[in-house]
Amino acid sequence: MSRDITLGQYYPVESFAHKLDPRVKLLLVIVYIVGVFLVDSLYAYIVVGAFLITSIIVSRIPFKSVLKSVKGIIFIVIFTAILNLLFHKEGEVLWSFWIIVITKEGVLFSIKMALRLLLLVLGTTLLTYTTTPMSLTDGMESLLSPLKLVKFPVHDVSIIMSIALRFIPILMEEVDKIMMAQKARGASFDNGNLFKRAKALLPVLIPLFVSAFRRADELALALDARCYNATPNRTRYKKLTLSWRDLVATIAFAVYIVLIVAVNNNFWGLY
Amino acid sequence: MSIEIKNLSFVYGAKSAYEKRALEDVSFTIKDGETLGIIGTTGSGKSTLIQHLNALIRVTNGSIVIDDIDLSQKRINLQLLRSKIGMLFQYPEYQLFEDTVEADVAFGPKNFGYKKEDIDYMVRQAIELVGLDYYEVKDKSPFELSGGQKRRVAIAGIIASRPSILVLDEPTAGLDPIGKREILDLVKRLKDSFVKTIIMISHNMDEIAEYCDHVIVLHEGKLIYDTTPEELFSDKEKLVGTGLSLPHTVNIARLLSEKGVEINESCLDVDSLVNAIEKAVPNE
Amino acid sequence: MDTIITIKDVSFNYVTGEQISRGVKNVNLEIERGSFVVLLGHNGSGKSTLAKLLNGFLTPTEGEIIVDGINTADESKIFDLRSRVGMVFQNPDNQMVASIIEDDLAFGPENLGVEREEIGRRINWALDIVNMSEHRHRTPTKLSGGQKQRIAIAAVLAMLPNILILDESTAMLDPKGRSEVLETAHKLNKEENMTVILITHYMDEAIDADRIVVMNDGEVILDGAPSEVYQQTDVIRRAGLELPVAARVSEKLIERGYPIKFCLTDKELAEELCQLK
Repeated sequence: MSRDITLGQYYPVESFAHKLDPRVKLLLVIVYIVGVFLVDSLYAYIVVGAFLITSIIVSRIPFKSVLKSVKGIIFIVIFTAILNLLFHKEGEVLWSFWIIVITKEGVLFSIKMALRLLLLVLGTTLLTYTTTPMSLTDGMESLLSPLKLVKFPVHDVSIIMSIALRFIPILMEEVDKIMMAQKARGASFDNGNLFKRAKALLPVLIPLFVSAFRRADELALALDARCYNATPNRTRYKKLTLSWRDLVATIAFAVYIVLIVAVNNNFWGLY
Repeated sequence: MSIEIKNLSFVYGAKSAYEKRALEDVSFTIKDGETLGIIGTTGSGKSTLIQHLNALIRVTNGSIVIDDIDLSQKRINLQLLRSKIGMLFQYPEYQLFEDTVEADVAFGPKNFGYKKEDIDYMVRQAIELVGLDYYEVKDKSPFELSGGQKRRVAIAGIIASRPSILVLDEPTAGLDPIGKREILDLVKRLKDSFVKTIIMISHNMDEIAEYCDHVIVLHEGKLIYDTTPEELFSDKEKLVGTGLSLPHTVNIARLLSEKGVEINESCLDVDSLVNAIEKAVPNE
Repeated sequence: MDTIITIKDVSFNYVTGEQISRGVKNVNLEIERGSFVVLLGHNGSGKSTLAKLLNGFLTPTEGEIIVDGINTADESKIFDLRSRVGMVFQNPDNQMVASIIEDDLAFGPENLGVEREEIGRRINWALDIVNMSEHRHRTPTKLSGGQKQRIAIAAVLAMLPNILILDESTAMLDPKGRSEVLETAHKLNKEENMTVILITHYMDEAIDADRIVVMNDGEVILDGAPSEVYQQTDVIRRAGLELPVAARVSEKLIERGYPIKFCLTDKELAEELCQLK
């Protein structure tokens, strides 16, 4: 219990964004991502940025929390930016030394790529901040339901996802407990080279697997006891329903795509 | 080894949305040779407290001094500390992982850097101490054993490193009466012969009354009593509002007193209660 | 007597490879509708095997079991059987399938193809009975063991069973959690006329039962009302069980010639002794 595991980092407040239908949110995030990939002028990034900021405001999540999600990938962003900078050799040379050549186009390109990565992460984070893993699963199940026609076991897959979501925090807590028990027996997990460290994890992984299998065994009984697979005509208690909010959001995203395309093509002659 | 805990406080997830105060200004001393019982409801801070004792949680506020090791120092010899303070967590059988019982019990001593010859002897002694037949179980997989046996192997894995202090977090949880009795007898045997000081968390007041000579009560992270079981259970009012109950023997004595049959001795086990009743209500 | 469960000459053997080990042997029991039965025994005494035989997880090697009119060996009626015999297990964490409590409760009735509105009504009812209505939209992670186990009970109640089996459902709980679960079971028994079968190794949980069945080595060794069963102190000890403190004290006093009756609870014993004064 030493740490609080909130999978998918759901941020529990009430907002317009939280109340959107998960199916709509999933589709709109795809639209957003498409938008980010459509961008090829820096000006269009302003559109995406402004749109993202508006979305964050609408979701009532503090900017600080949203920015936290970037912390984990900032290294990757900088790393790819440097690579892009070094390997982009065509165009107007700004500075060169030995084999290193930095061009104006290279600078622009690496800024664009870094922004793209950041905007992608921030956008998808917003989805996980405003949607519980459970309703994401429901949304996905519903979106995938046409696949039932080709005998794809949509329902089983969604049960599997739902159980995975349920058990990840339990197993994480278990890892904590086992690690503590082994530390008390003198194990250390942060000494030595990579190989040594991997080996040191065995005393944690083996009990974890044993426990996971034991849990799976019991869970299988519990599923049977509750008549899993009793009838092919399974009903669903949760019914996703669309509201006016979903319509408003969809219109907003349509405007977003139009704006990006327009700015990309310099439709209004802004630059 | 004595343990001195002064003004210990601890907060989980400090300064986050999930901040939770687990310990608040806890101070008490555990003397060498004691059997200390820690009681409190779930969430009272018991686990947090014992995890501090071998630096699984580092002291952030207050101090803990174990003999000459000051746990609030930044650099401490963790290996030395953890070999001196054996800690048995709840459901300890879930920490077993090696192919054989012998190898699993040897895990602790090996980590603590003992020599091969010493380890062999220590492992054998530990397995025998917990009441298992060394030659019968040493090459078995720990996963083949019964629940009670697994737990005893786990205990062997802790005492093999010869701790001076043994900390037990609900050592009888989930066992049936036979298994429970075996573990409690084992703890008693260890106390008499092998481990100097025992610290035990238990939900079972009857066990605390019977086995401990010092008891502390935690309630919502605060230490509310630091006394002997006789003292603590002498007054039913003391535990009101803590969600804890009296040991049954004490409860019977209390009910009798309420009905005008005065019982003045402390009755922490069945025999002393029966004797006290004989005195109070002579059998004509 | 309105019998809801008939167990007739039932034996069951576990077969692993060449090894055959006995689960239960020659068990004969009739359980009355609406009764509260406690099945006692140490680990490996066969009590959990018997529970698994009752809802068709296992089928008898010999003999037959009729539950609510259904033969447990009849595979075509297995889901009908399981919806009538709600079963709650030991570890509360290992029987929840969803991360939101109402979704977890919906799982059983969904599997049975119950209509949406009806599922909603059942969830209301079940959460109300176990006193967890305010947690409906929350996740189980932050709940105490007793609360989680009450949710597990509600989850089987949503299938509207006639029989509730608690298979060592109190074993992992702290005293508070244990009494919460026990209270819930008794409430269901009294208010909903639910037949409850509580499997445990804690003798003090059996005091308020209508009937106690003690198992040892796969066989039923004692069967009767608590006051009768507890008096068989030698048999109980041989079965690896521990008498409640009040029973142990009264046993010793009776040995020493006190004219009191054998008591099960602290209160009962105190009252008996007062009358001597």
